Amino acid sequence: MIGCRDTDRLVTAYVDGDLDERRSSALRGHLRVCTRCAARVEDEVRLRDAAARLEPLDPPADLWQAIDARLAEEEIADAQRGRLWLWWQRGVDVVRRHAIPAGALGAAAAAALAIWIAPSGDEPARRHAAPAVAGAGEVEPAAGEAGSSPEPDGACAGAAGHDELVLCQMHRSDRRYLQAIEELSAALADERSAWSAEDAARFDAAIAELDRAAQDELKRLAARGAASPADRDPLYAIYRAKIDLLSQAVVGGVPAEGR
Amino acid sequence: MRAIQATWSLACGLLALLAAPPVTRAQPPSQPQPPSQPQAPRSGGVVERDVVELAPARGARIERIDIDNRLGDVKIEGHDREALSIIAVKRAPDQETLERLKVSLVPDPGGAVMVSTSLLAGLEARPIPAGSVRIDLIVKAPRSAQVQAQVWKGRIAVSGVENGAELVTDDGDIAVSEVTGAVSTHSGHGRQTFARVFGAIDARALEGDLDLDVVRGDRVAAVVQEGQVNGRRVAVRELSVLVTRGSISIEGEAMAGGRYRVASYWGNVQVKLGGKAPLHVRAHSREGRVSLPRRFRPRTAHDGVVTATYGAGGTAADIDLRTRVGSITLAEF
Repeated sequence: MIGCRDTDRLVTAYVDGDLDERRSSALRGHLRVCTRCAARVEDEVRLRDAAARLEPLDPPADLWQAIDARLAEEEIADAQRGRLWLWWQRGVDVVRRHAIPAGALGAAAAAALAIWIAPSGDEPARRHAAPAVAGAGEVEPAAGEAGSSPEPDGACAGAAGHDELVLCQMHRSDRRYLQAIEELSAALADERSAWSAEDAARFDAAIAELDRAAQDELKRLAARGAASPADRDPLYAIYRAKIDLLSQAVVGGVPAEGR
Repeated sequence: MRAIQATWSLACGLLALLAAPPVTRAQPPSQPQPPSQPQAPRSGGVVERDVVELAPARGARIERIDIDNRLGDVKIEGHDREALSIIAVKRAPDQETLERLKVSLVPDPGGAVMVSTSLLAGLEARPIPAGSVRIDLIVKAPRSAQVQAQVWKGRIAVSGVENGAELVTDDGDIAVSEVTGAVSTHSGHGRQTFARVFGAIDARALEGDLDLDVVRGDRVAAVVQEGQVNGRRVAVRELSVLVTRGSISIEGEAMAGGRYRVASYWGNVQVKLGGKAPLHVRAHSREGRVSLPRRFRPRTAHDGVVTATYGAGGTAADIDLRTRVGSITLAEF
């Protein structure tokens, strides 16, 4: 049964419309019988309305320059950190991001793969995670081991049978694609400030089309309960096209030219 | 060892499915390894080596070979014969499982041959131990055939073909040598090497280094998410190398009217060019140094972009070098 303490915890999400229907219904039921909580929710709504009516603030012209300079300093400082810090950040990052792919992959695929999602340290550290910046911006590439393949089964070593192993490997492949997309998307936010509105619109349309195709493909996979690597070929082709497009924009500085 | 000779008649228009019968059975793992040196089964197990040969009917040609092997490595060698020869090395924990490993060969009347491998469904009373089944393929194909190969966790090696190749591996190295035509590759994880390739290269990698040595032709386009790109003796009209995290080193020749874009988001960019074409250079490093040969007389614009022109006469080669965090070095021979 929902109580006043729960209301305090859930009120923000409820007012923002972020609370799921079942818990919203339970909360509304409690508000019918608890005047204190009803008043609390009303206050919250009034506060949001007042905030929404405030005039937007124009930031000082030099604010962004200052932020940009600060970001550059921080990035340089991050680049000079040791590998241990990078490993740690990577672990944190993997844990943080796993909510996204698990949701996106659809019920069937996610259910099959979920058992592999929990461990965060299973991915080998990226070989070129962050080249250290030395002196006046000179980059010393991180010492990476030579290219090897196939990847050691490390993360999938616990698989009991062939089918489990393949599922685990598919999950790792999904994750590799999604991590690349996420990394490029994060970098894109910085790059696109220099684009024209037309370039940005064209780029966004191209990305949206690929996202739609990926969603359709994920639904198809979920519906079929498909669980072989070959089933994922169309999905991976879409991911590759998206990575190409993002790389052209982020690395090549060409926002509107597809492959 | 036994070979099956299948005669392929294009006129009949039928698809033939051939699965070679076992040849060598129950070899202990201590037996000599097959040429591809695949991993041995985890413990004990049986190994079988099958050979299939497919010869087209008189006057017909094998124009395309599509290989789909999600169970191991693929090695393709071009040869001067018209026949297709396939060596399949199967590994399984026991005889029963071994018999479930199949290689299918489907010739199409249009001149394509599809080769695929599969693990047939079994009763699964007891699951197959992870990593205990494997099929490695060694394919000898007519040089003129166009090649397509896809593997899952395995290596792909292609050599001696003259009509291009399309190669995809999720996790494994790709090695391309002595190949003419358009070559397209993708690797999720693994090193890619291209040696003596004449034509066009489209290479994609998520994690892994790219190595180019003696590449000539129209185009090299490489997109690498994380890895180093090293190129030596590269002479193409259009070059586009984009690396998100990793450094790039390219040594080659600039052609008149050529376009060369070499960019890393997070890494050094080093380009060393020869050739007689005049050069028009644009270089930009947001957080690093840009070094150009002194006689280029570089000019730095307000936004940090360095431009320079060198040489005169003829159409200039256009060179665009970028990095966000790293240094840029352009040198000449």
